[in-house]
Amino acid sequence: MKKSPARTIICLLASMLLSIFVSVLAIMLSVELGFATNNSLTSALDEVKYYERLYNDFMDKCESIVIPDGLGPEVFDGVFSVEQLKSDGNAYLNAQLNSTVYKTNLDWYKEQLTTNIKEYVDEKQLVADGDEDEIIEDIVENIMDYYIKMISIPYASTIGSIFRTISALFPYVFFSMLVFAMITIWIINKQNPHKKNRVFRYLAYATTSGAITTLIPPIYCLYTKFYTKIQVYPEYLYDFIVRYIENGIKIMLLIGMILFLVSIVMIALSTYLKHKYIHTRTYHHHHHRSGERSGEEESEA
Amino acid sequence: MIKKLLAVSVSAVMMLAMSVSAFAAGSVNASEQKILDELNAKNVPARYVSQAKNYVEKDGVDITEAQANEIIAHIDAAAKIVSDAGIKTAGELKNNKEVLDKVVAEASAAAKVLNLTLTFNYTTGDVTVTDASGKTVAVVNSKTTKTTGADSMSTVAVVSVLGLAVATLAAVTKKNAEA
Amino acid sequence: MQKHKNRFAKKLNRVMAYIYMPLLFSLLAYGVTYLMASDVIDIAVNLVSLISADKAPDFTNENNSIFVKDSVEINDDDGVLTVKRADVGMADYGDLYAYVRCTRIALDAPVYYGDDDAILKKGVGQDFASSQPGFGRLIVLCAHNNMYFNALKNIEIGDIVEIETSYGTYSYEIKETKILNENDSSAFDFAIDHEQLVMYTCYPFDMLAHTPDRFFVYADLVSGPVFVD
Repeated sequence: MKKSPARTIICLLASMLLSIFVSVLAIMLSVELGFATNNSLTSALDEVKYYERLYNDFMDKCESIVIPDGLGPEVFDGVFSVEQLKSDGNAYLNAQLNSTVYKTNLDWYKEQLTTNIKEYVDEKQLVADGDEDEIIEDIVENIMDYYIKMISIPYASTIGSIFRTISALFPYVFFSMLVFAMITIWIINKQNPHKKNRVFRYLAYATTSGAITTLIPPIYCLYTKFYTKIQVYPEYLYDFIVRYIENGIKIMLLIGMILFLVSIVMIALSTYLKHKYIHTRTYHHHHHRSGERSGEEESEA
Repeated sequence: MIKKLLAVSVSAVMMLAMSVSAFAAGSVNASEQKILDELNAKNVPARYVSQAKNYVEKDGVDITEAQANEIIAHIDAAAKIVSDAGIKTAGELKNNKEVLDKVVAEASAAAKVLNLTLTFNYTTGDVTVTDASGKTVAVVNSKTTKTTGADSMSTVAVVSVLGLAVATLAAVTKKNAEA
Repeated sequence: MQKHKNRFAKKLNRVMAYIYMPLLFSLLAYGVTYLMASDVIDIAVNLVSLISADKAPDFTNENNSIFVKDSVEINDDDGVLTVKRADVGMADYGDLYAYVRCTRIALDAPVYYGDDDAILKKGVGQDFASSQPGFGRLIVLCAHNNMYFNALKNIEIGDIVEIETSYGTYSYEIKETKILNENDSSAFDFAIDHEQLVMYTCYPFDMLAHTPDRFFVYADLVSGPVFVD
C-alpha cells in the first residue's frame, strides 16, 4: 500500500496531539506526586532537620523578647523542647494544609514559664512597674504568640489550598487525557491497518516528545540551580524550600525517564515489525516470482 | 499612599532634570538642599531619602545617568498604571491584584536595572534591598513599618520601599550626573 | 550502488525522524503554552527574579569588623583636624565600625551598623537609615536597657559622649533627654540640618515592666575630623 500524503498528515497531527496529552499526563502526575502532597512537604522538613534548627532560632528570639522586659534567658529553662515543637509543628502544618483548625495546647508552657519568671523576679528582687501578675501574663502571652508564629510554615494555608485544587483537578485531567490519548491511538491505528510498524513509529514520536517535554523543566532546574539563589532567611527555611523543590524535580525526572524508556520500546517494536514485513514481503515476492516461472515453464512445456 | 509616593518620586526626578548646579562631594550644596527640601515637603519619608544618600556615598557605587533614566521610565509606568486604575490608597492597591501585579513587574524591572535583590527573613520580618555586590540599599523592618502601620512582608510595603529606593537613588544619581 | 545509497538515505531519514519530529512537537507545545500563559509566566519570572541574586545567600554569621584603630591619617590644618574623604570607610549592614564611650557613666560599647536582635545582643546597634559620624547628619544608636545602654540611666546634660571610628574620634555634648512612646515619629528627624547623635533604649530601667516607652538622649557635635577631598 502506497503512502498517502493525507494519511501521513492525519497521523502526524494525531501523533502531535498524543504528545500533548502524554506530556500533560506526565507533568500533572509529576506535580501531583512530587509537589502537591502533604508528604512532600513533611519529608523535606524532616530531611533538613527543620524543627531542630528552628528550635535554636526560637530560643534566641525568646531571649530577645524578654530582655527589654527586664528578664534573662534562664526563665526558659525546662519550658520548651525540640520534640514538643516538632510535634506541634507537624500537627499545625497538617491542619493548615487540610484547612482544619488545630488548637495547640499551650497551657503547660504558660504554667511553666510563669513559674520560672516569678522565681527569677524573686531571685533578682526585681521591682514591677505596675501589677506584677499582669505584666508576667502579658510577657507569657507574647511568647506564646511568637511560638505559634514560629511553628507555622510560611503561607501553609495558601499552599494547602493549591494542593487541594490540584488534587481535585487531577482525576479529571488524568482520565480525560487518557481518553483523548486512546482516541488518537485509535485514529493512528485506523490509518495504518496493514503497516503496524508505522503505528508504533507515530507512538514513538509522541512518547519521545512527551519525554522531552517532561524532562526539560527538571534538567533546566538542575543545570541552572536558579532555585538555590533565592534570598530567603533563615537558613533552615531556605534549606527546606530547596530540598522540597529538588525532591519534586527528581520525581519529574523519573517520570520523564520512564516515558523515554517507553519510547525506546515503541521504536524497537516499530523497527522489529518493519523488518518482519520486509522479510515477509521478500518471501512472498520470491514465491510469487517462482510461482510465475513454474507456471511459464508448465505453459512452455 | 503608594500612588502619592510614586508621584512624588516622579516629580522629584523631573525637578532634578532641570537642575544645573554643581555638586561638591562630602557637602550639601544649594541645589542638593533644594531637592531634598522638595522631597521632604512632598512627604517622601526622610528615612528613605537618608538611606538612598547613605548608599550612594558608599565606595564602588556608581550609577550612570542612563541607568537612572531607565529606572525613572519604569517608575513613571508604574505611576501611570496606578493612576489609570483610579487607585488612591495602599489598601486599594492591595485589593486590586491585577494592578498590583503590573506595579510589581515595573518595580522589579526598575530594580533589575541596578541588579537589586530583595531578601526576606521570615522569622524577623525584615525585608532588605541589596545590590549586586551585596551592599545593603534599604531595610524594611518592624521599626520602619510600625509608623506606617504596614506589615513589613506585605507586597505593598515591599513594592513601595523598592520603588522609593530606586526612585530616590535615581534622583540622587541624576543630581550627581548634572554636576 | 545507487539503490544502496537511496536505501541508506531513507534509513537515515527514518532514524533522524525519531529525533526531529519529537523535538518539533515539544517546541510547538512549549510555544503554544508560552503564548497562552505568557502573562502569568512573566509575573512569576519577575517575582522570582526579584528575590533571586547571582548566588546562593550567605549564611555565615561572621562579625565583619571594619574598625581599625588609628588606621587613617588625620591632619591638623591650623588647629582643624581633617581627614581625606577617600580614606573614610563606609560600613555595610552588620559591620562593627566604631565604639561609643562616655567615661563618666562607664559606657564603652561596640557600635554595629544595623539594629536587629542579633546585633543588639552583642553591642550597640545603629539605625540603618542614619549616618556615620562626620557626615553632618543624624546618627541614631540603640541598645538594650539592661545590657549595653544600662549606663544611660545615669547620663546628664553636659556629658560628653565620644564615638571612635577608624577615621577619627567625634565628640558630642548631651543637650536633652526625653521619654517618648516607641511609636512617636517626632523622636528624631532624618532631615535635620546639623550633625546630631541620638541614643535610645527601652524605658524604664532595671524593672520588670512592659516597655512601650523609650528613653532618648540627644547630643550635638562638638569636635571631630572634617572631611576634605
